[in-house]
Amino acid sequence: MAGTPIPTLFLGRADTSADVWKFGIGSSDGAGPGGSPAGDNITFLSKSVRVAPGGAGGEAIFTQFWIALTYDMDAVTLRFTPIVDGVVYDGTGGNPDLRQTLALTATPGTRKTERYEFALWLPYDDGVDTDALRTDLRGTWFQLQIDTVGSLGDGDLIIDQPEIEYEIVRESEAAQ
Amino acid sequence: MAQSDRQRIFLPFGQGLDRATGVMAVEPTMFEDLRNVYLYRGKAQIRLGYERTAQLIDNVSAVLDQVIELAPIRSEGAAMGVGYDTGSRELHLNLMSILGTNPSHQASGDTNGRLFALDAAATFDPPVLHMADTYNRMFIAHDEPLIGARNATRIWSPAQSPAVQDLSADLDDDSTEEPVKFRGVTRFLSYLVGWGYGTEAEQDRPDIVRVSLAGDPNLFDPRHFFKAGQRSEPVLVCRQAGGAAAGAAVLLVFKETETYAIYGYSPETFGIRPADKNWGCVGSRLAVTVGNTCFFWSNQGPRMSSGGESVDLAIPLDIGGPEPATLVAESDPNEAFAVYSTRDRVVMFVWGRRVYALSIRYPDNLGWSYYELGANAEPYCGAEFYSTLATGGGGAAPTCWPIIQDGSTVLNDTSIQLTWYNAGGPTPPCVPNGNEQVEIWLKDKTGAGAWFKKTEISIDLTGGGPNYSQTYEITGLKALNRYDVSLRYRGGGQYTTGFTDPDPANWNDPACPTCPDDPPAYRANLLTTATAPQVVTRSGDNNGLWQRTGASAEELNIDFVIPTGHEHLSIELYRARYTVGNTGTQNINGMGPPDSSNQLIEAELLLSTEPPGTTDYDDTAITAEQIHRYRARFKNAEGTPDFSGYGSTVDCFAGPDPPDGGSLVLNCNPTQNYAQVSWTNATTPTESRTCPPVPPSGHQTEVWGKNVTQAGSWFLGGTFSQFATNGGITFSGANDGDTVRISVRHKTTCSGTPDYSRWVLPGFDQCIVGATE
Repeated sequence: MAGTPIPTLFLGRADTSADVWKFGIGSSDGAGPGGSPAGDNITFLSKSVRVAPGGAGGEAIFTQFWIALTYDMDAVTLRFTPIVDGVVYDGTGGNPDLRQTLALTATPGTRKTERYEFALWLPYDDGVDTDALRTDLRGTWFQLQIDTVGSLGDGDLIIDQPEIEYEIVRESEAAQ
Repeated sequence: MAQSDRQRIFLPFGQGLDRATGVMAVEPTMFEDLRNVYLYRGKAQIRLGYERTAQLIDNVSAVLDQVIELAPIRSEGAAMGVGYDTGSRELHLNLMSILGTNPSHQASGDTNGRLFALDAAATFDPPVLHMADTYNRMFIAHDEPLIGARNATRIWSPAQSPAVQDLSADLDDDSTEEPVKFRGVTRFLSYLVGWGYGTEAEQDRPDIVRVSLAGDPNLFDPRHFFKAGQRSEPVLVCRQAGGAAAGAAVLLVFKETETYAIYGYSPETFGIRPADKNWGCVGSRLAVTVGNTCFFWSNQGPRMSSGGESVDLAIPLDIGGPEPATLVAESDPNEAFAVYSTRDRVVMFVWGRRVYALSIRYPDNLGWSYYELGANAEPYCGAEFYSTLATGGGGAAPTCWPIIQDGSTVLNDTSIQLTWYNAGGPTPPCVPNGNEQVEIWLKDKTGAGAWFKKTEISIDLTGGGPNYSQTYEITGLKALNRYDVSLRYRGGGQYTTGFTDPDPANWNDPACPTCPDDPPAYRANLLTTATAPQVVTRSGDNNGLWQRTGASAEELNIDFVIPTGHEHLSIELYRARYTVGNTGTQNINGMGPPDSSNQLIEAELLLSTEPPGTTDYDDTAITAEQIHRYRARFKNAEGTPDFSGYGSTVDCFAGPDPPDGGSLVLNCNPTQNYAQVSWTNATTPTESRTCPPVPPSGHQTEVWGKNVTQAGSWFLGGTFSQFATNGGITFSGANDGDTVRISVRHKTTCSGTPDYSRWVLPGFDQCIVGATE
């Protein structure tokens, strides 16, 4: 064991078998040696607080967002879900599915940083074509939810600062 | 509006959760929900998972059901864990490496070597334990509110055998040590602190905190204790906090709704004061100290304290408010625990699968997130294992093994003095680094026992020399018993490659696992010696305890003297028979007393093999008025048995006790053919017997004479009644100056059968008589 002798956290299993787990290793929870048995997936989830660029009484259109990712994870899929005024655009409850996914691949041990850009729009269904027309997302409050889909690969995934582009169409007292 | 008029809002990670601030006031850098990330300034990294490194085992290497507690033992460069069998309710202690590998069962003297068995009435099932390592010992307290179901505090030490024993103290100050039942233990400065126990007479004192003697955590002065607040409200946990300067550290004493602080650094300076009147800790494992700060979970959520009043950390979590949708449920507070991950700089409050993770990477900007742990991977406990380079535990596994020197081994009855070369295999001299422990494993081969670790000692390279010879005496063994002894090195919890198996039978030289080397160099097959058993007559005298039990039945009663440590051995009893006299045949009943040595009648033969534990033998196949010569030896249970040497012989005469020869007085009359003899009947066995009674009762005395000058035969001169102590004998036909001899013996009659004692001659048995009648 070379380098700084950092203490290592271990956990003890609560049921089934008296497993001693080393924490901070691998891409799943509770895997056995060599991945047998496979562990449970780790699901990343972040949901930003609501931002109201135009204020509580204002209104804005949200056009696109960017995100920077640093990773050496060999396989992972990120999913981005916009939420406007509490409406989660995930295809449920009659709302359009505006989720966008990003599949990443890399070589563990070789980190790279990349920037990704995503457009935000609402499809307009004219009764003939479900995507006959596109409009920007419009509302008061905007939130961005990011989560992972499926299992994580080996390696790291670091999420840097997302940026949301907006344009105020009706302004009241500005929120933060 | 032109494209260029569009603005951007930034959502940097790293600030963590804020579920409490209003939407118009909250910083956009905060998060409403944030799961499974490490927080950095401006970024977040998806957390890593956890993988199994070992499974805790019981005394027969069966995998247990749950891990109840984990703890490092820094002095050993190793770690320990307690596993629980939910069926038998037994808890077992394991030692393992700081890598969480190589669990080895640590036995107590209890059934199955268990740490203890959980009482059926216990409140907490699975049980809750507190472990504290200090001064190369691990103290293990059973955190059970019900005193009647609480187990004694246990101590593990590599230097004691068995390795797990009770913590005992004389807390009643009555000069008697009794097991102590702390609810919890922790180390503070150079002391061991235990709480929740009063005295043997008044055990249930949940408010009391006791402090050991400095530098000796096994010893408790009954006067060194504190009362923390109201008596009926239990102390749940104690944790150190405060500055690093001398005397600045305090021991926070948490109750559920208040906190006290023990300050000072010695019995003279110790004191206790309220630290926080409003907040305490809701679970006995929900407090962890990082540096000078203790993080704990109050009934309003997480707080922190550096020794004084605590600071609220809970607000961003909005404890009690609406929870994030789909967030996994919390566990019971008694199953929750707090740990710190140094690598991630995160304090984790683990409530089953839900973890409240506080990043303290930036002390001025603490940030919360949630961890959701695997659905099939719920933890019950946690601890950090230290990479203690100073003890070798953090280094590589040992690479050598000891070589036992059979020629230098000293075998005793109940011990073996073992000598080995530390500069041993695989290619001598393979010199260890000096930080290893030498594990001494033993197998009772004769008793068909299993391998177990007898003890372990620190390697000693101070003697130097080319081989770094080391000696250790293994005690507490059984005599005349074959043992297999195996040695291996432990560095922290790691072993030499090829020596990791919990069964020494599976150890081998990895370069040559099938080498026909029996025994291999690290193993010895040894046979302890034995002290021979001694046969003694039950009455303690050389006539034996003879008794007639019927008209034609009699017996000799003998005892065996069994040395300590020999009780498990069988006894072979041997016997030979002799006559008393010079004729080679029975010399009683008219043939007269002996004039020469005893004559062999029956050569020595194996009379009986008595089972282990036999302490006496009644020989009923005896011949009246003969000497029976006994001796014995031990035999073990090997298929081809081993034997001890023979004990000393003892002669037992089959007949009543004789008159006392030393008191026999002969008084001849040189002018008459008459002699007078007197005797003492003072041979009195200490044990009663049915027949004959203890002399002189029931003992007649015969006086026999012989005219030596006239070459006459022995003749019975008179039979005298019981209690008589003298009598006369007439030598008819004697001439003046004739030399005569006189002898006497006892005669008893039981069940109509006469029995005779040995002959007894006076000290001066010849005299001169005359002719006159």
